[in-house]
Amino acid sequence: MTQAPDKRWRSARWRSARRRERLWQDIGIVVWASFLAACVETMTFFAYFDPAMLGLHEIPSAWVANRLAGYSVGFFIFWGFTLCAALLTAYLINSHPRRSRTRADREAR
Amino acid sequence: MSVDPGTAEQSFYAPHQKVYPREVSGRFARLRSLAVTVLLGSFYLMPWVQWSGRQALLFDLPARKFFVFGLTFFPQDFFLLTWLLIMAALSLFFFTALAGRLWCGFACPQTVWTEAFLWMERLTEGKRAQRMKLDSAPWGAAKIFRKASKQLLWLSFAAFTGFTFVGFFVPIHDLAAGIASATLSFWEYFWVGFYGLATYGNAGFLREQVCKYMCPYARFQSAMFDRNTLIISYDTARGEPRGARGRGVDYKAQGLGDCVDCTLCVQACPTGIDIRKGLQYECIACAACIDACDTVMDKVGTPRGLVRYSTQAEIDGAPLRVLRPRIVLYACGLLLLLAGFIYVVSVRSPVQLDVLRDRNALFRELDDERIENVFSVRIINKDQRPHVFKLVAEGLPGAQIDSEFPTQSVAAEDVKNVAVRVRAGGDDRHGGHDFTLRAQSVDQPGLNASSRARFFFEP
Repeated sequence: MTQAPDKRWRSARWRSARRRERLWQDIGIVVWASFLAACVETMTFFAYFDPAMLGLHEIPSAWVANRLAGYSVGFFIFWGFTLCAALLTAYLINSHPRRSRTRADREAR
Repeated sequence: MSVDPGTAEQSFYAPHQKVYPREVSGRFARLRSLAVTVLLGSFYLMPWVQWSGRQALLFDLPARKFFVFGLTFFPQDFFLLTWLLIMAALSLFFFTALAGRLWCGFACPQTVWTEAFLWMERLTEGKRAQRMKLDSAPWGAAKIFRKASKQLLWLSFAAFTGFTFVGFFVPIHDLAAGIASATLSFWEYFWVGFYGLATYGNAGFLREQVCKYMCPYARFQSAMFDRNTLIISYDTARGEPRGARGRGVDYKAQGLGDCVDCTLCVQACPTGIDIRKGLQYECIACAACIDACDTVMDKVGTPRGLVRYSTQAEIDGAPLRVLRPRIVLYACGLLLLLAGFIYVVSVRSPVQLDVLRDRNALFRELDDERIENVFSVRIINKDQRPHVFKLVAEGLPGAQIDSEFPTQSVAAEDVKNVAVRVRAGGDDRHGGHDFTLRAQSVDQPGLNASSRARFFFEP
């Protein structure tokens, strides 16, 4: 515990552990933010559309046979989309050439 | 402390250093216990409360009706929910500007459930030192027993939490009966499990990491802070330089401050920070460090308040100002919204009419040369007793309404969909004409609802 800070920089294992930790945090943020957005989306959408009325045919599709199933499937569809958006945003921000270069500079120092 | 280099490196590997919050007692610990009891108590008991023969608070999703004590809300009242959410956000701004992260330390579900899970952890694994010792000890019968009983407690509590949560959306008596007879639908089981597992993970394992990495409020709270916001702070001028001292020694003569450097404030912190380094974004203002420090100050005989609720202005020696423009503005906005909300709910019409055009045909010409338009009308009766309605068309001269029945009876708190044919003479009229469709109560004069619609003649 008493290792000097400069020594920590030299440890490749420490750095890879830190990278892993940050990756998990990033995954957590993406999942969580998309979950929140999907919740709001589900709430708003189903306030206006009754799942029992959805579907292209006269008889409602099996997945909306009961409303709870309709809400649930709807929620996961929304979460799928928001997850894609959050992942793409995180990826584009993270792989931005300018940012990557500064990070490489920082780590080289 | 001399550490074997191998183990020292090991300790930096831990993806996250587990925080073992030390148990504290004092004013704020008691306040939090009270908050936890009241909040969790009302959460777990509320679904069981009955109101005129029905669950008092039920957001009945399968039936698409919200019962809030005597009131019934339909999806058409969705804007009221949006209104409530805006009020909730504004209250958060108001309380944050006034007293900092009061919400985080005492009312946030994350804090409240973590507190409950910590209590179960203490029950099975003991106090902070015992827990740390247990974690570093090799696996044995005693460790397995303690860990297993903790998991058993946590999992049962989490399962009951999931059950209660779903009980706000599906009538809880039906839910309990369904579980007893194992006849719940897949999705009911799923959501009980989903919410239960989320509680278990967040309150049992993630804990302060939720506040540090996942909570947006923690990040933007500084925008609501000013120099007169209540924060938890360490009195640096009084405490420094910190250090241990002998009993009966005049530490002031040795040039020491009041801080005895016992690190109890650090051990008590549920987010694992040192408040003596100043205000940090990880601080959830739970005041555990205040309680810890006060206990020590009492013991060593120095006045309390080395760590205390304070404001930046007070630390800098300026007078305390509670009424700032920001506070007044937030409070006025909140009061206006609240008054508006109460007004809108109290004058809410018990009947609502939704009119949709039939999508198949714009208009149809009848044998007698009149024009017919078909509408699908939804009559929503939010009242707690049934009503009979007669539909009339206004603002369309000569219009007649034809429906399967001359009057429409709608049960209490029910929605009725009716196909309505509106007929009007089309001799010299062309294009669209706006008119009003009104549902007039037959049994209670004065009770009516109307909606605008458009009637199409030949182009």
